Amino acid sequence: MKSWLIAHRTALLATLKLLLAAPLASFFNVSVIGVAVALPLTLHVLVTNMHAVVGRIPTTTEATIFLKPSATPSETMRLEKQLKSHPEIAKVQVVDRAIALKEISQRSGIGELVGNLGENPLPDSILIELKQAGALELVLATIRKDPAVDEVEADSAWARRFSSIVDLGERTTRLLAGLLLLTLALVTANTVRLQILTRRDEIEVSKLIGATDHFIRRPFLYFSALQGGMGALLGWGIVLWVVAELNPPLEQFAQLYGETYRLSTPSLEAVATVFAGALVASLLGALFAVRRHLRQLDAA
Amino acid sequence: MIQFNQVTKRYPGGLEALRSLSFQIESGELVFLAGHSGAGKSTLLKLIAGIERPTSGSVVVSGQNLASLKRASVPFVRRHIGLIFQDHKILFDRSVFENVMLPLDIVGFDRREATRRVRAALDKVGLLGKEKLNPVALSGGEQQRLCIARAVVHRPAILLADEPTGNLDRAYSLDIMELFKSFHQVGVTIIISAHDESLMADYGRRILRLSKGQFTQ
Repeated sequence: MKSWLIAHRTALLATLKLLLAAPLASFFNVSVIGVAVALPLTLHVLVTNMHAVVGRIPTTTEATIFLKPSATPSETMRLEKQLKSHPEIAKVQVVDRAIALKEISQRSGIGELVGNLGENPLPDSILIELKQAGALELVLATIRKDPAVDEVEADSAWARRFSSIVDLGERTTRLLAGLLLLTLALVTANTVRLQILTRRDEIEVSKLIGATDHFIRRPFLYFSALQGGMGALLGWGIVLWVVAELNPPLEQFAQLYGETYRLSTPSLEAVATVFAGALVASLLGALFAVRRHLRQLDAA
Repeated sequence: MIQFNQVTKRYPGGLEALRSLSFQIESGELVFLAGHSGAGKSTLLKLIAGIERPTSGSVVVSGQNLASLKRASVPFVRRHIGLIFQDHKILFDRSVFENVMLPLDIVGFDRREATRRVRAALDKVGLLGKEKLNPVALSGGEQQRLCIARAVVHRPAILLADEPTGNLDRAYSLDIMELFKSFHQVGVTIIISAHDESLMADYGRRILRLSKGQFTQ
């Protein structure tokens, strides 16, 4: 146990030596890893935040039916009756075109403009609410066929489109994360390769006087883990900074719509995943390089 | 302690460095290995240290047949052996003290005990006053003594010296030989190779003469 501790302390000291031997190169490496980590993590933050927005949109059971401007009041009444008797529909509310115009002019403060309009450009419309969301598309399909109906708008349509864009974003994030982890492994492998080359003499002598492969490998693995960890830490910092930078303008933007909205920072789970990913990728890269080059030294 | 049975070593390309050599070295013996460059002296020492493996035959060191040893076990055999090289193989990125510390670091020695041992080894070879220097500042003879200090610091049972006096003048060489004699007196098995037999004659020890990979008498 004691010699095990001593061995690891020796390895740690050797690791620090590696780091300090080329501080600028170490700094660059950590920065590269940091940026590589920050990119998918930022994307992840944006995607999860968009997910939250989608979640806020109620999975709607509501739809608005706009009638043709030419539709007569009797046609409106006929459709209303028809809808009320539909087994899937829970609620039907007719919005008279005159009332709609009045509401719009009050709500959006364009009363004067509305007053200047010669005639009301709005059609009659009917708000319906279904008993359950699943039947919406089917019900709307039959309503669309009615000759008096101009257009049917369900709020859920754009929400679904938005949601599928978010899904696309999520997949992109995962792919990008995978590619960048690969980059990270390659960067680490290359760094370790250079270190092995510059420390060739030391490795050779150490082997001659009884160093095991573990002993020789250890500082390089420590170094890579440390570099990967510091890179992940930097990447996390970058993302926190990006979120802090984006939030004020975003809040302003949301206010224009009378909403309050802030980006949330990456979850603990996401950060832990990033750290684990960075560590594993760094270690794999280092292991690959060490294996390859120690064998080469052996053969020499 | 060391036993060669019909050992042949052939390098890729067909060069036969050793031809069915058989000999035995007892524990605590001091043996000289003589012969011209290319006679196979270095190869013989490398086989004992497990740096090379025999093409055929068996090399038994401290009861272990190195020919059939697993790669992962080789380091543990080497820890019982002190190696001294003609080209010293000293590391110039660290002090004299740290050079000698390396074998103890590898074994995982307690730091305080290790420091004590490093000082003792440096004292033995007369370099205690220069422990903080970079080895670049040492003369050729001093560098060789540093290499010896590193080879003995972990108190190996066997000491292998490949042309330890190859680049040194006679006074320095005698100096180094005296050092080996003192290790021999405390029971270390020592094999010293040299192409200059005049140094060996004074000691009245067994001399193995190699020529073209075979012993000559």
